[in-house]
Amino acid sequence: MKIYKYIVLSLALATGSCTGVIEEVNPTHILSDTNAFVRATDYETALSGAYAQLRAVNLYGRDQASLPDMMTDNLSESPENLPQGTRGLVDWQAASDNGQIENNWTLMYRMINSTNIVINGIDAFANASNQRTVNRIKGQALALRALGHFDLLKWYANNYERNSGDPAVPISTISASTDPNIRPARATVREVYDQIFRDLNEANQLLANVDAAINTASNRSRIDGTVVNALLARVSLYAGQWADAIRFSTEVTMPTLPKWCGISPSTRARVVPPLRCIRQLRTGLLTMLRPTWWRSMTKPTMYALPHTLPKVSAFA
Amino acid sequence: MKKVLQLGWMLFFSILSAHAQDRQISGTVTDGAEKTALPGVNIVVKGTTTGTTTDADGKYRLSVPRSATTLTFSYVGFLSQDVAIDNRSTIDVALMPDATTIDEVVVTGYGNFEKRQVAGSAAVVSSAQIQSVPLASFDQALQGQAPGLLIQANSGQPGAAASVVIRGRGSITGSTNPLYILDGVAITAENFATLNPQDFASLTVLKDAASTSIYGSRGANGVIVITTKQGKAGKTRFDYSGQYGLAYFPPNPLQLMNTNEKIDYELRRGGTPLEDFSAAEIAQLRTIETDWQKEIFQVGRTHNHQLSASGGNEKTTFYVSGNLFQQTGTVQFTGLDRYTGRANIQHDAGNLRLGLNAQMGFSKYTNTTEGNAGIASPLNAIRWANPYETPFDANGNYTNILSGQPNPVQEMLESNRQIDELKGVGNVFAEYTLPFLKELSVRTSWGVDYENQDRTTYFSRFSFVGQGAGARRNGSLARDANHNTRWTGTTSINYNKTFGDHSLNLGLFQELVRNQFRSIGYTGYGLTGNLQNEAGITPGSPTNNFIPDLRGNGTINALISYFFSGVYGYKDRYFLSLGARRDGSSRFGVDRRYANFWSVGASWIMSDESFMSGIDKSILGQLKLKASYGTVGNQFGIGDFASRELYSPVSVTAANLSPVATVAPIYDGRAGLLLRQLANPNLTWETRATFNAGVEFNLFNDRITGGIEFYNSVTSNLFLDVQLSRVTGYQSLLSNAGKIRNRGLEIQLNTTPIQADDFKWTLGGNFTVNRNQVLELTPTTPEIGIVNGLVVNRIGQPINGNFLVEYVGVDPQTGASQYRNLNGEVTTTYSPNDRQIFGTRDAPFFGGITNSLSFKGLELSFLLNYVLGSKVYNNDRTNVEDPTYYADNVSRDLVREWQRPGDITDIPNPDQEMQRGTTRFLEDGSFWRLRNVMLSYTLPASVVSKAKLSMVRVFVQGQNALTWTKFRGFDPELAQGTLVGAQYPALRQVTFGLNIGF
Repeated sequence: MKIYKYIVLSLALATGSCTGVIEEVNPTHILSDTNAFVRATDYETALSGAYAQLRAVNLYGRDQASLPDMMTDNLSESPENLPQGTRGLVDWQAASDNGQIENNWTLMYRMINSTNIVINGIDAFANASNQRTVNRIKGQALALRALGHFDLLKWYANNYERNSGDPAVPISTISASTDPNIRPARATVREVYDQIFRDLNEANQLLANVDAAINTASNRSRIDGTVVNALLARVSLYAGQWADAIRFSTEVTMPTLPKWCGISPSTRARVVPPLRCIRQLRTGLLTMLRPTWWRSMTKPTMYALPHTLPKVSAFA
Repeated sequence: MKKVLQLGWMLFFSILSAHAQDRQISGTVTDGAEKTALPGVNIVVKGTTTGTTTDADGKYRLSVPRSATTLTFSYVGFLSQDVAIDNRSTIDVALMPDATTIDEVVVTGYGNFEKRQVAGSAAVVSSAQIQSVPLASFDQALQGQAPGLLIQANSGQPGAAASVVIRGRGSITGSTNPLYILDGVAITAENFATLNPQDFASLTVLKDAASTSIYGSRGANGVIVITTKQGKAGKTRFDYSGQYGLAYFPPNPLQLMNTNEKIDYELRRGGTPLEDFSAAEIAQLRTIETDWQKEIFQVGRTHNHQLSASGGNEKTTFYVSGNLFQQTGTVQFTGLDRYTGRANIQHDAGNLRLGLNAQMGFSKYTNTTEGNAGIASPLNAIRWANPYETPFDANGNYTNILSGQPNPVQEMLESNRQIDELKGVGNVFAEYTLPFLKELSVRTSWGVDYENQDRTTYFSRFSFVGQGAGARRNGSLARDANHNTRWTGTTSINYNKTFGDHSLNLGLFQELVRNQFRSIGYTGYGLTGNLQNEAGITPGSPTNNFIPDLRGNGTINALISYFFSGVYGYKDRYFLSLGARRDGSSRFGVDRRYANFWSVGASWIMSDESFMSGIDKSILGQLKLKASYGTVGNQFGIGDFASRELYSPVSVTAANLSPVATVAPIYDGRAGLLLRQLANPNLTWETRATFNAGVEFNLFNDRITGGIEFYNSVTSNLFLDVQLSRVTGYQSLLSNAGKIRNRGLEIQLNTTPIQADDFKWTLGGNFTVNRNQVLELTPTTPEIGIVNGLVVNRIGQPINGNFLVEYVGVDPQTGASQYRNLNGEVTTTYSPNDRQIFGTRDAPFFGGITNSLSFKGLELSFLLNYVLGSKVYNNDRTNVEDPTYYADNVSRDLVREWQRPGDITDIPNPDQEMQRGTTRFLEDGSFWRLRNVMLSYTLPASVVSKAKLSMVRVFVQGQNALTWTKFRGFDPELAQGTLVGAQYPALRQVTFGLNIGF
């Protein structure tokens, strides 16, 4: 009888020790929802992923630049060319299953989805000590999301008026994994503008209060406050809001003054702790003593997206 | 006092018997089939209790009363024999194995059942049938052996695995490989080159739900259960078996142009380098006639040597074997060297039985690329290289092929692909029978399937790939180390009891399977010296373009199961079996991990009923009816984390990302993350529900045995990519949707038309018809179905239908290709909208025919295998019939192409674009193949025993000797129903073998 008890016991142990076996299985060589984002700075990599997608040939790597020319008569696909799938665009007779159009549309929304992951996820990791880091990451993501929607609006809306009720494009603000089966309808032009301005204004606010400079003088590959102003100017121009277009573009074309205690032409006076203010004053004065600054005064930098491209290996 | 009396009685009787015994009889008992000595045979004087048993050499000596007339020889597993003594003093007997008892055990992997009890569908293939097949991968040896099994070699490279489909494809996206269980351990499908099939004792193919439901979520594609040989108590027995053989490349039904035809063709068409050749140069070229096949083919050689020892005593038995298998393929520099060793040990310690079954193997195989349409594959290049060019020029340097294609011989000699594999499969088990409750036993078995692969791919700087890849990287060496470990642990309680008319066989199981994979690899460049290994790699710098690539991966999955199986028998003729299993798989969404599977089956031995007692047993030996229904699942063929949201910092290709171009997630030198896969927490099992009904019969004293079965199975919750709104940024999501049905009939028949004293003729056959149909697809699938290249899956049609435009020949006036559009009109305009379904790529009819003639020790047998009714697409032909590819060699058919108005031909005008997606390249995939023919001779026991041996057998056999087909390629065995290119056909071999037992 004793042995019998042992057997029952060992069986129970064998069984018991196995519970949780499948629950404990997690990917080790690819990140999943459980370990991709465990701190606020992890979203920095997701943001880099969003930026990286801008380089795709179907986005700014080629098509966003070449398609306008194809759809006018500046660029054509010759019949001798191996088919590139752009003939339909050149002839304005794109079939509903044209792969080129599908790719442009899908990849733009995929880039937007990458920003949604950052925007919707990062706040959960924000606290008093890293708020400025969060601002820096989230501000860039918001600006990228606005950029994506704006370029889609340009392609698909018939009317660019600020308050037009005409159909534009669907707005994407939630992460695709939340509900992959969504079938969003086209939002109106006004709704899309609302979203773009909301995102850009918030980006502007957040990027004015960050923990570290986003770009350096020699490397301007990311969106900072100046770029957001440039985007605001551009969107305002399309929306017919001339005053805003002038105001924002003025801020961009003005020489880049050093930060004076958080005071810049676009962001009004801001409370900056005295110690940091003194540090900024010192840095600012030192900057102005350098000849490079004076040179930049005479040659204002126009920002471009993305400014520098990585080395060849990244395209492989 | 009592003891004294007892002793007295014994003395009295012994004296009495001593008086009566006045005859000594001795002799040897042998196994009539294997011609080996049989130890432990019971010999009894008929009608008495006087008897003895044979010793380890099968010899016996017995004193019998003068009155005795008959001796009865009996042994488990053999037919008993009564032998008249007459006046002989030496009686040698050969016992014949009892065929009915041998295949009466069905091994499910979780227990052994008498065949009469089994309500499900299972086919047993005996080890004898696969033992001497000269192939490294045992799955190919099962071809044509059992109904319901469609096995296609797909490749003849030594060590290559076949494609095995049981009862039709039950999945579109998921895997259709069956589950393989070796001694209770789940082993990797399609990787058998390092397993030694000569150690196998039996293979059982479980086909329907009642048989496979105990494999739950893994059983939907059927299960192949393998057990290995165990030792038998008695004298230690040594066996040697050896084989030597030659392999030949099959004839080529796709004829290409010879030198004169090709030169004439090129000169007529113009536009190739030959245009600029002078007449003298052309005349010189005409003298060359290179047979490119000969340049890379060879006669393959096979050596196979196995030495085993088995034996033991009542308590401990063992089986130990060592095997050496060496095979070179029919293409130069392909081959397999395999070394395996096995030890199976069992020990009985009273109520506790324990054992170990383990095999360790190492194989080294060298291969060439196949099954692709790439120009760097030598097997493609031999088709495309012109016959007027040579591999080497006069100075012995590689010839630069005029068209710029790689030189096949150069690619073969300047590259090397090798896989070194170390594989260990084994388990340990302990079984305890309760001393106070003999019917109850507890068993636990733990096993592992471990694979360690070291893959090397080398391209010298003189090869096309090594020169060209990534802008002059001067040769490359890639090495990848892959480790896969799969643990299987099964613990069970079994209860077996017979009381009165009732019998019960119950089992309660718990099982754990865990698989872990790891890989690491690199590719180095700049092999500019003479070292062809790691030491030859030039260290990379930003300027020399030799920066090596590094890579690594790892994945894991686990399965936990609780299950029950039970068989209840009444009067040994009514049986009811029940199975239930609950499985949890790490692959699925958190709330969908667990699923339940179940089955119910019944069988009835009708011939044992009293109302059938009027029929003579010699006419109707047994008639059994059976039926079952149940569900099983499939979780193979999808990623280990298919239900998760996945992000990766490196660029990987994912199915649902394509064809949209992706970029490496690096921006301005900083690493980024990309969302690679959307989460689908609802992802769960594919479920296959099968109804099976059948009849088994045994007529005219086993002269005719067989069975007929019908099955109908429906797979639901198919793994399919459901289209998403592109606003998500993604194209599709792997989901459960859709249904397909497989339905079929299986017939198995074994007959013995003649059985005289020394002469026996057996003839058997099996036939399967399997029809499948797509019943449902995803809600987003368009009307035409899911199109994947030239194949479509459409509701109401068989799966894998050929989706092509009908080709109706050449217009004699213009030479244009003509097609039939959807309205049935003949047109010269090609439109993909006119595509229709033309047959299915999966053969609906298949089976095998076996025949054996034996006279004394001489036996002649053959196995004929057939696969009928499939339509296959010959992509290989498109590349040699495309008239724009005429700078390289083309099909001889192009000699008769259309040239001027009025030409009546089947080859169109070469100036017109050739469309590939048409029925012009669709061919009948049916074939008959003489899979094996064997002539063997077993020396008589009397001769053999003089040499102190127990058995000697010699044989000669031919493998894939003859093939009858209309297919225009080297080999019609195509698992995917299409010949992409670079075909390495199944080996045609002739081998000579020797088996010795001592």
